[in-house]
Order: sequence, then structure tokens, then C-alpha cells
Amino acid sequence: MERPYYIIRGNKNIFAVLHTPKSVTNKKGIIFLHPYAEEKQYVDRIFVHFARLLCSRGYFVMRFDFYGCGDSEGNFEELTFESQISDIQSISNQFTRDTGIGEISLFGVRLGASIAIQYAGIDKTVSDLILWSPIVNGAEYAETLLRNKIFASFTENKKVSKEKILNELYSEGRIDIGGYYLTKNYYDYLNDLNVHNNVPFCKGKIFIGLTKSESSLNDNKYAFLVQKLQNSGNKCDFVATGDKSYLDQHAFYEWYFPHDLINNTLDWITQL
Amino acid sequence: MQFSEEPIHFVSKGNRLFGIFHPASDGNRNFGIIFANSGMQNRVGPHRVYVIFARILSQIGYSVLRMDHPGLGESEGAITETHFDQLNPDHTISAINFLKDTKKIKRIALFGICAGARNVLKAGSIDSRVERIVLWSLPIIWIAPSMTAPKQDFRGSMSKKGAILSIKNKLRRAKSINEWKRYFSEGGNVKFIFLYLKSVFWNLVSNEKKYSQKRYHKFFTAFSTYILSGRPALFLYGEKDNIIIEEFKVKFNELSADINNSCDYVIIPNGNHTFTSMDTQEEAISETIAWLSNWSNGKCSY
Repeated sequence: MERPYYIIRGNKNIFAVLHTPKSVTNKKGIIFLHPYAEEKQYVDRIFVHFARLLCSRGYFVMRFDFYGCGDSEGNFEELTFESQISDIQSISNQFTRDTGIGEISLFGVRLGASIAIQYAGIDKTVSDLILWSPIVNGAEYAETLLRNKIFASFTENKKVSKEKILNELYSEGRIDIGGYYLTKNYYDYLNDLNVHNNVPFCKGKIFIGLTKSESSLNDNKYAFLVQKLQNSGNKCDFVATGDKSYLDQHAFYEWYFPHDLINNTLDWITQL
Repeated sequence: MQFSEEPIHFVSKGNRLFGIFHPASDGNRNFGIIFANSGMQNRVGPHRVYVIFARILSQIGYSVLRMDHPGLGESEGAITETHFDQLNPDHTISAINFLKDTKKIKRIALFGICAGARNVLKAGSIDSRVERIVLWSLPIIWIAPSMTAPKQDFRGSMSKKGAILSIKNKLRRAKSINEWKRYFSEGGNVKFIFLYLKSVFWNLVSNEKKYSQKRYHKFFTAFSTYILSGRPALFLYGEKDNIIIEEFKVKFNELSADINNSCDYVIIPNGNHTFTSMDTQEEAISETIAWLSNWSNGKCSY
């Protein structure tokens, strides 16, 4: 059964969908954390599909939109790291109240995965972490966002430099990148984000899943992350599947689903 | 301001479909607008523009339903083909039934971007309860090479004129190394380039007979049926969407020349296909609201 509803955090409405299994085989629940800006659209139906699969295997699943994103209240420029952490806390509390589950794991993609790691450092009750293509270095990610803006300006025949973009960001407090306002606050957060420097200890296990193209590009980065997580006492599994990337426009228009990654993750979760 | 958006479900051809209903903030039930998915995007729309637009409309007195067609967002069903006639207008008509029967909305308009525009044009041609349609970036024939035609048929994806314009566009962009970097960073590959070239050349040597292909025939029949009905339509395009605009002009003149003057055609300066930049989004929203104000006799204004 799927129940879409709004969860109240303070006076803010957070859109969520609760998946309740027909037969409850365990008391485990998984909260999904979506990626940043338009990347959220690229994984939307993958999230729905994966949540339904998990639910059919007896797991409770909670999907939600961060404040300012998707169907949740607020404007995108109101999104902050702090609001995201508060959202997860509220969702987690409501999830427990609504289902009676005893254990919560987090599943995140890209920046959603990085936030899952950060949240696990704050809330020690988080059991397992399932991470697809986590953003390890936020400054690099922020740089990519700026680069996208520069590339877009070429097609619009109004070339802008990085310096000009940053000047606008600092003077206006925000900049339009691909139809989403990146704020100075969030830009600073991204620049400070370095998952390697703040590795949490999880009482459960950690799964890192990548597609082939991502793993070949980022071999060292992820190997180092796995090593750091293991050095902190975590049990960490790393899987790179043969899927092609599902996080770009072409894959989205082709309606491509990374089935190997989905199945590998599902198997890993059910073996916990 | 009280948050009053409501998740809803309705059944359409055996599928349980999902949507978000935004009631008019003043509680009136006079005007309802249904947003059809823009292709494969869920009810949130590209760059969240459906949410932004729906919230503005509900604040000024319109009710809005943002729906998910089968296989998209939270709705049941599956996507079996990825082209811009993939959305069945019957589901949009089911959404009209829902607004009329369950929400007691008196008057209905439809809105869509790209494939959503094609969908609502067809729904409007079938269902005379539709009083107005708002079509952003309505594609006539042209589709992006990454979007395959039904059954992976690369043919019939653009008109001859569109093919020529497309080649000119690509050649201009191909001169820039940054364009190539961007292309590959967004998932482009050599296979897509090959498919694109194959498609363009096919479309250069063949010509208007593609208009008579079943899929297009249906679409153009719907187009002329709606125009002939005399009900108003707003065709809104981004200036940068030049291939689609050119194709639109040709077909629009053919289909609607001097038939009625209830159709309006607006170009948003610097806008692209999905109005990616916030300023072009705002402009497109503002133009649409101004156009809709005739419908509400000025009762719902920005």
C-alpha cells in the first residue's frame, strides 16, 4: 500500500510517500534521500520502482521531497543543509510513529547519499547506509554546477565567466543554474563538504553502489572512501555494476533503469 | 498563507493515477486547469516549473490539478514507448471527469509543455468541455535525436525544413570545443551522433509524406479539429526553440489560416524548449496568466 501525504515540520509541509508491505517480514524501514536540483527528476521513477520492489520484499519505505523541492512546500532557494537535516529528523520520527519500525536505514543518491552520510554522523540510531554515487567532494560538485552554467551560456550566445558568476552569487546571494537558484549559503555548504574528512561510524553496514562509467572515472576517490569508512570501524561493501549511467538527460529520455545496480542493492539489503 | 495542496488519486482505464490538487485560494470552484506531464517528467515538471506555476495560479483564483500519467511519478502503469505521443489523451479526460465530478469545478482548461502540449491538444479536440488550452513548446514534427520515434523508428522525426535548420544549428555548435564537452558530459555518445545523422539525412531526402503517417495524421486531425471548434488556444514558445517554431508556423498557417482569431502565439525572448532560466519561466508564466485573464473575465489576475 502506498500513502502519499504531507508531514509537518514546524509549520512546513513536507511531501512524503509511505510504502507499507502487505506482509511485514521484518521491522526495518528505509528512507530515500533524493539528489540535488534536476537530478531528482532523473531518478524519480527509479526511486518509485525501487521502493515498490523493497516493499514487495517486506520492507517499509518512506520517500520524501526535501523542503523547497518536488511537491514539498517552499522555494528551492530556501533549501539549506540544516533544513535537510531537520527534514530527515521529522520524516524519521513520523516513519517510526506510523509503522512501529525498530530500525531505520538511509538510501541516498548523489548529494542525497552525501547527506545520508552526514546525517548518520548526527543521528546514531541510523542502522545501515545504502549509497549510490555519493558526492565525496562537494567543492568539485559546486565547480561542476558553475561549469554547467558556463556551458549553458555558450549555447545562449551570452558567454559568462566563472568570475562573473561568482560575483553575481556573492552580490545577489543566489544564481540561476539550470532553472534552480543555487544560493550563497548552499554554495558554501558544498565547498565545505568533504565526506572523507567526516566519516561516521554506523552500527549496521554500508553499501556503496556505482555504475561502470562512474567507477572507472572515480576509482581512487571511492576506493579511498571505502578505506576511510572501514578504518572508522564500518563494515562496508562496494559494488560497481555494468550499468551505464542513469544520471543524465540522455538516459532519462531513454527511460533507462540501472537494473543491475537495483538488483545488487536489493540482494545486499535482503541479506542484512 | 495556508498550505492546501492535496494528494489525490483517480482511476483511468484501469490504472490508479496520482495527482496533486491545488484548490483556488479563495475557495471558488469556477476555474480548473489540468497540467499534463511534459514527456517523461513527473507532475513537478522540468525545473519544478509546474509546481511554481500551479501555486501562482491557485493564489489568484484558479484550481489546478498536476497529474501523473500511467508509468510516471506516483501513478500505476508503465512507459512502453518514449516519444512525444506516448501520453494517452484519454487519461487527461479522466482527470477532467475527476475535477468535474469530485471537485465540482465548473470550467476546465488544459496546460502542457512539449509532449504535454501535444497531449492536451488531443484531449481538447476530443472533449468539448475543455474551454481553453495552453501549449508551451508544442512540437509539430521535430524531436530530439535522443527521443526515438515509436518502435525505434528513426524516420519521421522531423520535417525537411526542420532537418535543414537542425543541421545549421549543429554545425554552428560543433565548432565549439565546449559544446562537445557539454554534449558528452550530459551523456551524449557516438551512437547518438550516428542516429542523429541517419535521421537528418532520411528527413532531407524524404518530405511531406511523413505528415500522413498515422501518428502525425492523428495529431494534425486533432489540431485542426480543435482550431475549427473556435475555442481559444495559446501557443507559447521560447525564442531559442527555433526549429520547432518554424515548423509550428508552417502547420499553423496551413491549418488555421483566417479560420478564427481565438488563437494566440507568443514568443518568449531568450527562452529555450523548457524555459530553463528563471527569468524566461517568469515571463512565460506572466504571459499565460495575462492570456487566461480573459477566461476569468479578469477575476483571476496576477
